[in-house]
Amino acid sequence: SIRKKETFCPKFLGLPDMSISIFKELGSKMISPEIREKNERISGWKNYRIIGEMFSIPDKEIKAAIKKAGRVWDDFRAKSLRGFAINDILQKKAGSGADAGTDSGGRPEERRNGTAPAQSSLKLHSNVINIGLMGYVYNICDNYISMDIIGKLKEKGINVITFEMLGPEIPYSNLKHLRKPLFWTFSNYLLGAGHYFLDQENIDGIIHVTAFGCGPDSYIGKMMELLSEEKKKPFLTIRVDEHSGESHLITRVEAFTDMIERKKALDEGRISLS
Amino acid sequence: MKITFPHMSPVPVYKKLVELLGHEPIVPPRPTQETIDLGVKYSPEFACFPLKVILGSYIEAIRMGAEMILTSGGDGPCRAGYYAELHKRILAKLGYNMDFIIFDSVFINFRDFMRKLKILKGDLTAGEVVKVLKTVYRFSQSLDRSEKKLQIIRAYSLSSKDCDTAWDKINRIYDKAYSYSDIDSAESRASELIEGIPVFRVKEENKIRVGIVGEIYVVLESSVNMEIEKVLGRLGAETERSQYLSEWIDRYMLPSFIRKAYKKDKLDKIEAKGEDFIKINIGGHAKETVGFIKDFRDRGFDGVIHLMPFGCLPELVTQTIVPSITEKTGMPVLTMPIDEQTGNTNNITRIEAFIDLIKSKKFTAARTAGSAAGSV
Repeated sequence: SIRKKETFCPKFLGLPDMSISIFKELGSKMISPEIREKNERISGWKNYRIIGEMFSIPDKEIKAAIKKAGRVWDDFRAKSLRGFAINDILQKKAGSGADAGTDSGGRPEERRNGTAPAQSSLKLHSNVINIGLMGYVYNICDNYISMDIIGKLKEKGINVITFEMLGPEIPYSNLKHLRKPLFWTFSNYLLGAGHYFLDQENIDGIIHVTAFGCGPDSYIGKMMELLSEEKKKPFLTIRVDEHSGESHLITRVEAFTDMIERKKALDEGRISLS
Repeated sequence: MKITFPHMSPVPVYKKLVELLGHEPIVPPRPTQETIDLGVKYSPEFACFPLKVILGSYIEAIRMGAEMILTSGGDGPCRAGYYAELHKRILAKLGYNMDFIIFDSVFINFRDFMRKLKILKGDLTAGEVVKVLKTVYRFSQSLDRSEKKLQIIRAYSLSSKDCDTAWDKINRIYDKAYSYSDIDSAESRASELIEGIPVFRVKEENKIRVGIVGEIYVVLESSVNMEIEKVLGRLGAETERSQYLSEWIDRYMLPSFIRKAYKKDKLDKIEAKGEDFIKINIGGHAKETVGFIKDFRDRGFDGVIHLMPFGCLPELVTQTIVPSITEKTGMPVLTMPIDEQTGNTNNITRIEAFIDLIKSKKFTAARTAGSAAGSV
């Protein structure tokens, strides 16, 4: 948990216990550190003490490893806040000096006090199609699971915005009007990002990538469906599961973006129906 | 004000609460296929089953003229805590702008709780409200006690009809009870009725006892769980549930110091038994379910039926863990997911087979023990 009164999805919370009872031989080999932090950097070394105890690694080495990991994280966050998707960052398209461990990324003042930048420096231009992509990191950052939906959109010249590019502040400030936020941290990020996308004029459509059977997403999906209708924002749900055929995804995404393109052209008077 | 609530047995308790607070209760009809169809139609596909049925009940109650909905809340991680928020949005979309009074746990936001209470209480003074709450609490405890007695007798009654008529009568008697003394006399009338049911005698060692565990809605609401207690009773098994409304109130509505002072912390202790298998609180009744399976074993029950709503997140975790609980404790457990399919025959076949197996296990063990003793 990284916020007060918030937690994770029950299935994830139960995953270690489930795995132990399915794979009996796992037993003592399970490493499941309990994370209690105040921010998404989760680099307090106490969270990982259990690893040191299990493999008898001295605290000093663990601290050093975490510090290094924290720097990589800050670098990644700084770049995603500038609007780069994970693949661009991994392929080092996001600027020089992206090597892990080197002193790069993040603004200098942020590097000094060791916190990730909170403000997004994202700029949206109205001359391209901007699509807000909602989805958990394990769905959209994993090219195999998401069937590289980000790449497919970018190939078509579409600008993709994910919740990571917004930083933690924007999603949460967009949840303030709710009587009660959701219980799950990442679901709150998504829902908040979704609300933000709905209110942005430059966002032309929203795609929600969800895993088959996802509990929290069934709520978010319904809420977004109701809101998008109210706010007249195109909304598409893509459900990923164990099937790896990609054609259905391509067809649906193409149809969705074609409709947006058409709508945009109509709105801007580039084409007309009469 | 016409107030409605979800249909989750025992319904007379909520009805009593609304009546005593001086409002008109709109009792939603017992869920039927139509209720479920309505709920399923307007709910998200992957929402859990109780959300769908309750939505159906709300729509039916609103059509009967309900103006306000009284329900419980929660603080996760189980989705049930967010039911009311989602229901509200879906109903608004359907054109029903309903007022919800959501009772989140009393002490999470005391001020909010008091504000809601103020709408509810109308002209009653604080003292009177406390009295109402105490009466309703006593009412639910008393009704649960009577029901427990009946579910034991049910296994041995000559005709299952006798039990059903007795239970209908008991409900009517309780319906007229509005004070402590009424409730007490209703309970003694209920006892008489239950004791008057003709039964056949079964030797103590031949009795079969089955525990029912799982998510509260499907365990309590007989209309969606194919009246599991009747099914088991007909097969000659005594039943006890893991969930009773009065115990749920003890666990989730009373603050812990009252709970401890009056020894109402039974559920806390049972939940702690579940820690061997589920270490942290993952929401819902997952830990309780595991704890109760162990508790039923410790108390000499012969088997456990685990009911889970289709799509339930915490019970899905429990379902995965159940085989290893059986392996470690030797307690037979049958997991049954409950969904919108109301054809029961397949489920009844499974339950019959399960009861046959636990009977044969029990009697074979008894015979082997007997012959071993005889040969000495």
